Amino acid sequence: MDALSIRDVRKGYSIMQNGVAARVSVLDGISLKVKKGEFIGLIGPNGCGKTTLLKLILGVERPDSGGISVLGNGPDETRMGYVPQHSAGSLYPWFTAAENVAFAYSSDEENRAQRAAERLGEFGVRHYANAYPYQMSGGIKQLVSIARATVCSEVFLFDEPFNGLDYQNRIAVERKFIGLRDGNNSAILISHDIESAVLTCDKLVIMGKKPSTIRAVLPVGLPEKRNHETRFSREFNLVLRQAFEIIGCE
Amino acid sequence: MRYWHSISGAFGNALFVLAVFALWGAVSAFGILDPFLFPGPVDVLQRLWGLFSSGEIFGDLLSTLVKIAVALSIGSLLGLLLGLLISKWDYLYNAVSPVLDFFRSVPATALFPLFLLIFGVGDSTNTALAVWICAIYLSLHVSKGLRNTREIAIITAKSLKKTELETFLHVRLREALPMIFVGLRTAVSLTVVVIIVTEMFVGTKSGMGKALIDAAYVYDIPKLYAGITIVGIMGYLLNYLVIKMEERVVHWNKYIS
Repeated sequence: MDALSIRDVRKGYSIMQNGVAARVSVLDGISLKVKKGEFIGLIGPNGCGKTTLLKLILGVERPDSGGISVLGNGPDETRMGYVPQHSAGSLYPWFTAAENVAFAYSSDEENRAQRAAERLGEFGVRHYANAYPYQMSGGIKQLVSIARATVCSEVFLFDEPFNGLDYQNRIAVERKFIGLRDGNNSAILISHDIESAVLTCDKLVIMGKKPSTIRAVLPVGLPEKRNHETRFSREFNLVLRQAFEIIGCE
Repeated sequence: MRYWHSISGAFGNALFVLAVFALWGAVSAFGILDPFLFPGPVDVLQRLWGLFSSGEIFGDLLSTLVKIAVALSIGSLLGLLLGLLISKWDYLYNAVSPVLDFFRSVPATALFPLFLLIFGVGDSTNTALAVWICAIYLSLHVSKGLRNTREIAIITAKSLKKTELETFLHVRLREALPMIFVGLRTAVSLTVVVIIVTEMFVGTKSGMGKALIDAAYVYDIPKLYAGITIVGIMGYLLNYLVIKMEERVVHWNKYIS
């Protein structure tokens, strides 16, 4: 079974242009399959509809036509781990880090607090358990946000998770993504950081300008065992070059 | 360091109050203003002490405090329920919020004669008017707060497949709290104003407003000043209480707004 199946999805919005209502097409027939255990990097220019596609997958918005299924179910029925763009704002400011993560567990789950603290420990931020988001740096918030998203989910949607991170934090987040690649988890990662996408994903899906279609699918083909050093390998740079060549000819 | 800041802050405040009293005393002692209409601080403080030591003011103070407490309790509850109700459906919000906005714009005291006819002569009229104004202000802020939840907060809850109730209690309501407190602060101030002012009108048996207007009628000017001081302290303490409650409940707000 595919983790995620997107079939000929089209989506547009109504806008007012010179006082006249007009329809703007954003996604123009997107089809994509993500196999179980696969990590897909979604790359495309600003405003091409990547975040819109994630909202459709999450079931927050409905496609004009086409269909989406997640683990064989409708988007509304399947739980997904979502790390939004500007994820710092997605942490609830009235909750501590531990409470934010605990919120991701079902309310009737026992030992939620304990499990949340352990989850934070897995992401190396347990000592921030009692801190509120406004007491954390951007990198820590990002790690807490990812820790929360990965609770009880097998399908993850990451929207620009490397935005605004310094080099050390970017490496830390990349390491966690690589750690999630256990053959069971699947993910779509939207990123303008192509290096990080190549390092953490199995395929790069390159979208064109609005109205978007998928322009190319580039298999990454790096060994399963990856780390920070992988980015200095010949294979890595070959894939990176191919990706830049495809993106560059738009 | 923190303690030093608060001590020096309190010292600064005390110094300022002393300076105001000194200026007031000087104005009174040198007869710059008519001493009958502007008595000195010593006269006012003596009268203030007399009002409490004789127990003369207790009845009026208690009466006002009870009316404020009742009006705030019922008004807040009604405002919260009305705000919750109209925030839920677009058509209801679009239909009701302009009406609430209209009544918010009508000065509460202009409605006093109508409330007097409906509720009759007695304390229930002032209290009902204060309930009305408190509920209107609060319902507008509750509904606006609940309808302006950040999209990212809702999408995150949706991705976690939280139920409607969980999303409401843990996300929407929390997001609305800063706006609700803005409404509450205004509602508390207006409730105090409405109660005190309407106590000065016909039909009131007791209350600080009645004590003030009675003092004015008999030219008991020191009592008038003492009464104004008591009402001022009462309003200040109520506002302080709400601000402290807000700082505690909405502790994150000052860091993200």
